Amino acid sequence: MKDGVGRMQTVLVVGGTSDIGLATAEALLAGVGGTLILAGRESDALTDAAARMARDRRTVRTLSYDAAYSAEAVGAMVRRAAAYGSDLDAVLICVGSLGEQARLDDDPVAAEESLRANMLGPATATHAAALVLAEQGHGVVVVLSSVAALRPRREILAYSAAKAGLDAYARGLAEVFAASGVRVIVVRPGQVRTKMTAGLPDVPFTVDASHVASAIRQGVLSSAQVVYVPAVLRFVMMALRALPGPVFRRMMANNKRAPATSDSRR
Amino acid sequence: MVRPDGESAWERLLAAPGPRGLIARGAGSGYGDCAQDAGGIVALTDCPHPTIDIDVGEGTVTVDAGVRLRDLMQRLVPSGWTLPVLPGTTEVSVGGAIAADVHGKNHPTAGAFSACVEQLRLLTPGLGPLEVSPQEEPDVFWATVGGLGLTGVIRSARLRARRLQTAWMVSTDRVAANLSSVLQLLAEGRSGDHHVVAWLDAHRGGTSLGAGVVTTAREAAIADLPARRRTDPLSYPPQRALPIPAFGRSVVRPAAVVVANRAKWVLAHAHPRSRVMPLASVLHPLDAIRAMPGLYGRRGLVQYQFVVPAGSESVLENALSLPRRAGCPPALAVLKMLGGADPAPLSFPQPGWTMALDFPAGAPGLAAVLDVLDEQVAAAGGRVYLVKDSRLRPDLLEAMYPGLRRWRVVRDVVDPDHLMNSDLNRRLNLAGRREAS
Repeated sequence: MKDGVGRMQTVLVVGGTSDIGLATAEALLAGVGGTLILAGRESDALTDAAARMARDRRTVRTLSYDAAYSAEAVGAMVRRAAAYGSDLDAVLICVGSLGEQARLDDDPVAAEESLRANMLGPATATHAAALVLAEQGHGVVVVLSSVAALRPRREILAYSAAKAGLDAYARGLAEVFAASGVRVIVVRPGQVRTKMTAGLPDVPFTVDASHVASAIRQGVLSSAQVVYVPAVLRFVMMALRALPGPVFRRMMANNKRAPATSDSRR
Repeated sequence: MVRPDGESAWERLLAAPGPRGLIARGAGSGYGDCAQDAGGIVALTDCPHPTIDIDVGEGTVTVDAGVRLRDLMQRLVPSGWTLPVLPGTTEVSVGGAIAADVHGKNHPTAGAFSACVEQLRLLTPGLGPLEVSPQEEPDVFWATVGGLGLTGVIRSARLRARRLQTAWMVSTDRVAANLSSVLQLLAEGRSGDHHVVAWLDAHRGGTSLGAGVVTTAREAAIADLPARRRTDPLSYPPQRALPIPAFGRSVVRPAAVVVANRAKWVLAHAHPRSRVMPLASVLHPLDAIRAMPGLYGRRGLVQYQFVVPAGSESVLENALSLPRRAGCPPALAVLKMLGGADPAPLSFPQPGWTMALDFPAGAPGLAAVLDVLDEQVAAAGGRVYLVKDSRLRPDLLEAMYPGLRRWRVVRDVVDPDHLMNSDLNRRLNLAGRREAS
């Protein structure tokens, strides 16, 4: 149950090894101990993440989850997570992977996998989580989208188009569940320095996972529906979206350091 | 939110409240989440034609739980009666006053609200309707007193009333230059039937830490009243509430608070003599500023009230100095003395000093400061007032309320399926969770 100063007691991270997810959970549970549930593929990375997060009187549990899970299986997983604490205060949907578009261009099977991992999987998880939270009458679902969702590009076609679908679905769910006391917040970061982007050069507006985490915490405390990280990207994207297609494509092709071109996490 | 009408409607509701449970709400004046139940049912106890039945011969009043103390006092005082224990606001229901076991400014001599409860009628999910008192089913009675509504729905109560000569009080303000002189004045003032309370200027530090105004008041006799008041000494006009708008953002800003606190200090200096004042404005100062939380904006206020035993005055000092140093001094600080505890396991009052601090909820750094104070209060053998709480560290609950396990045993009998539930219960795990597999 969230307390009077906005602190949470129980947080579920779907995509439990996500750097952004873990940093955000840390920010939301700061100083309370509380219960953290990490859902992800059973792996050493998940076990390690659970061990890292288990400190300051905090209880950490792991649950098995995969983006290929059926809606029914995801719902059951969220329900199990809710039973670990006194209600779920927040569910962070941090599922996704960037992939190499050049390879996906020639491989529809791999492209299908990318669409599942970045759209169908997280969208289903968002819906299932919102339903469970609606039964408790409170809670927030944080969906990690990307600024790439606003203007999909061929260099990261599957990823950005999938994010566009997830983003639209999540904003729709926010409306559907508004009356039930559940909030769905969409987060649109630019490029984030995570273990996945190790080796990639920074583009303008690149931020750290901790930066995204504190922006999400602020968004949760306020009444924000869409959170940009950094905040200025709201206006940058407004301008980029207004560009005609040919101009946008030439700009992206000419300037490898253009802002908001990719969002790599996990 | 539902408002069940009549006994059978209440019984039907308790028979099948749904998966998220049920909590009763009286006046809805709690600062925290004691009468909220997210996803569940909040059942309102007020009704259009409540029973207020005064038995002059016995000196008791039988009253429906949803009746506000304001309305009860409107009936009692003009007929020459009062309740021996009255909280700082009458904007609470009788049921709420019992479920929180509220106290007044005369706790050392008069005890908590339980002292005036002779019997109460409780609708329980497990055992159905019960009449309980300190003599019949004492375990259930004491689990319900201070039980935060989690043992069932209080339907009505028989309260002990007390004779009253006038609706006036003789009130004296004394200024005190620091915390130790405030404590001394509080201790001296508790004799007789006196009501004693100190307001502290939480913005003063150093040698003036804890400086404030101590108000001592006693019920006025006819002879105390000015001649023109003697013809109708029991006149009890309703208190006018100040029109305070609800602000979107907090207007409780440091500068405004400093000015307001200084003004109070200067006014007390200017009027050090005794004054005859209406009973309500002395005992229930909060009624005039009923809409006060609106000043704190949308995020509201956090009230932190705790008690520590005598000898732990350093915790009082820290409660004033730590928030000030963290840049979030309270807007309001009130200090009182408490006397002996009653047998209720979850009742707040215990012997010692109780301090209530009002903070704007959004103040950065506040959460960490209050966590530190929680630890100091628990280590000193004190406790935090649950009905006002909105952020206590759940791991300290058992240390603060050693009777918790005893209370859970009784609660498991009257509500074996844990149908009574509230957000406060969820947040602090008061009733104990059945372990999930």
